[in-house]
Amino acid sequence: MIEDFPELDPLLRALTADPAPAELTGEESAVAMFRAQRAVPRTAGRKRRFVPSMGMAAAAAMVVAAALTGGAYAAVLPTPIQHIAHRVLARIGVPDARHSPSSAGASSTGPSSTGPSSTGPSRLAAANPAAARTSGSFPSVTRTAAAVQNPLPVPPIVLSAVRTEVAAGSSVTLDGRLAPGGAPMADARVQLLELDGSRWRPVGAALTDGDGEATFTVRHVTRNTEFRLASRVVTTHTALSPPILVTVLPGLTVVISDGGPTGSDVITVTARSADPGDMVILQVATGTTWRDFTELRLNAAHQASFTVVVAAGQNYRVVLPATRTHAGAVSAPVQVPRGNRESATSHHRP
Amino acid sequence: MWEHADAMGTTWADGFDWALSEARAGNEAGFLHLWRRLQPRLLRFLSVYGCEEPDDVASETWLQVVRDLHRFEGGEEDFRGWLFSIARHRAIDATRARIRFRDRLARLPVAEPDPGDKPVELAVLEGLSTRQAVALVAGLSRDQAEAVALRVIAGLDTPTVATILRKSPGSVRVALHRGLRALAADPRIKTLEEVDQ
Repeated sequence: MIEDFPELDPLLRALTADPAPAELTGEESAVAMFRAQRAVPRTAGRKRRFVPSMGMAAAAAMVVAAALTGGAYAAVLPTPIQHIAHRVLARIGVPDARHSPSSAGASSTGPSSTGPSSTGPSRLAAANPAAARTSGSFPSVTRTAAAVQNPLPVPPIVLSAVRTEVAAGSSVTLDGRLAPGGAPMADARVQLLELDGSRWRPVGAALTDGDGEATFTVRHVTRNTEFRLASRVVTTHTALSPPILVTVLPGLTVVISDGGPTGSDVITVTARSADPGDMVILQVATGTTWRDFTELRLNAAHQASFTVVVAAGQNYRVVLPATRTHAGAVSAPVQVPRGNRESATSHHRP
Repeated sequence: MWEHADAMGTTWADGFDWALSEARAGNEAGFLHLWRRLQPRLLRFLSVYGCEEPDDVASETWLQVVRDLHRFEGGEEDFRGWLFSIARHRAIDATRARIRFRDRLARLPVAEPDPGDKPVELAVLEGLSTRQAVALVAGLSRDQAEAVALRVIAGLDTPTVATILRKSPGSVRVALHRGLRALAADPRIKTLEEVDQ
């Protein structure tokens, strides 16, 4: 139908044109709202069966309202949300956005250069400013525990990653942004810190580019690691970003081999990126569900071998539960082919 | 020839499923991806409805989306339908106080092309600004404006638009056709067309 009106091409092109900068100005407020919502405990949804839907909705609304009202009273909500809160709750004294205190941190006093960028250990590299400008399309913090606990206001220094779950042994790219008072600060030295036990230790540093951004690439990530950025140029104190957790997805290899004349079979699982002593669970398919069959711990070679009598055509899989050092993993199903009990192999690569 | 609005789905689909999944899991990057893709269209859609403060209404819309995201099930088309359905309700709430929808739309500023201001060729090259285009759509009757906005700006298919508007697909097609015909007959559009030829 629209094709019937070729004279409307200019109009339709304008209606679907690429975003204008003014149309994306509310980005930080939107992210702050999302972050605040994540901080609201959510008990509804899965329990719909036990709670009347209207009651659940009302409860959720009350929780949201309570969370927002608290922020609104303190006038620390993002401007559009503060304005909405004022419109709804003005009678009980919630101030409008224009009465809110300004964002934390003073405006930039100008660029400060502290020398050329440097890198820390060999597994970490800081990209040059030009690379930083073109990398990372999502300047936000992902899966940030501290942000959940203290979501507002938006900190002047932020560390983010497009992907916070990475395959074991691969690299992760972290994007930092330094913008005290919302103004990007160029040529400022930012330091990447890694949580080592209970201490934050520096693992690299870089200078921010013209957009106040710096990109770090941490190579060969084999364990769950928390990172954060630090900078001393904002105030006399060190500004710290909320931490960001990078989770490692381990790989699993499962092999079924003939156990010999006893008629049994051996299911061997190898999880190179898991730790010796980690539990692995053998599951068997029963209908459409998987049931735990037995469990073992990985040996020093990161392997565990289950000796079982495997029925031909039966599906098995191995589950590696998440630990403090890696995420959980589930192998692809393995099956002993009917009439051929030599071996079957399954590789799980995250 | 400008491609049909349905073709937008193939472009928007890039990374959409990933973003939706991540957003539902609480990942800000996923949410931001969705927001960046849909916020501009959302603002234009709300402007067609004559919202005085489309940013506020859009914020209310996203607030509800985030609040209920864990219960959402579906793909990209479903998500866009859901988002713009919420936006429509919020827009109706925001404009309920007005006496007549059409009266409000008629007062929206529409920048008239003035060939005397600049060379005709330059005017054609620049074409319509998005704001002017939105204002032209907003000048239609409510039924027509809704159909055009949901079909073109939101990029929804006719059955989804019909569901949102609680009308039959046939009614939506009629409203859309009449709206497009009215726009095509608009002297400002015709002027551009004549110059283009």
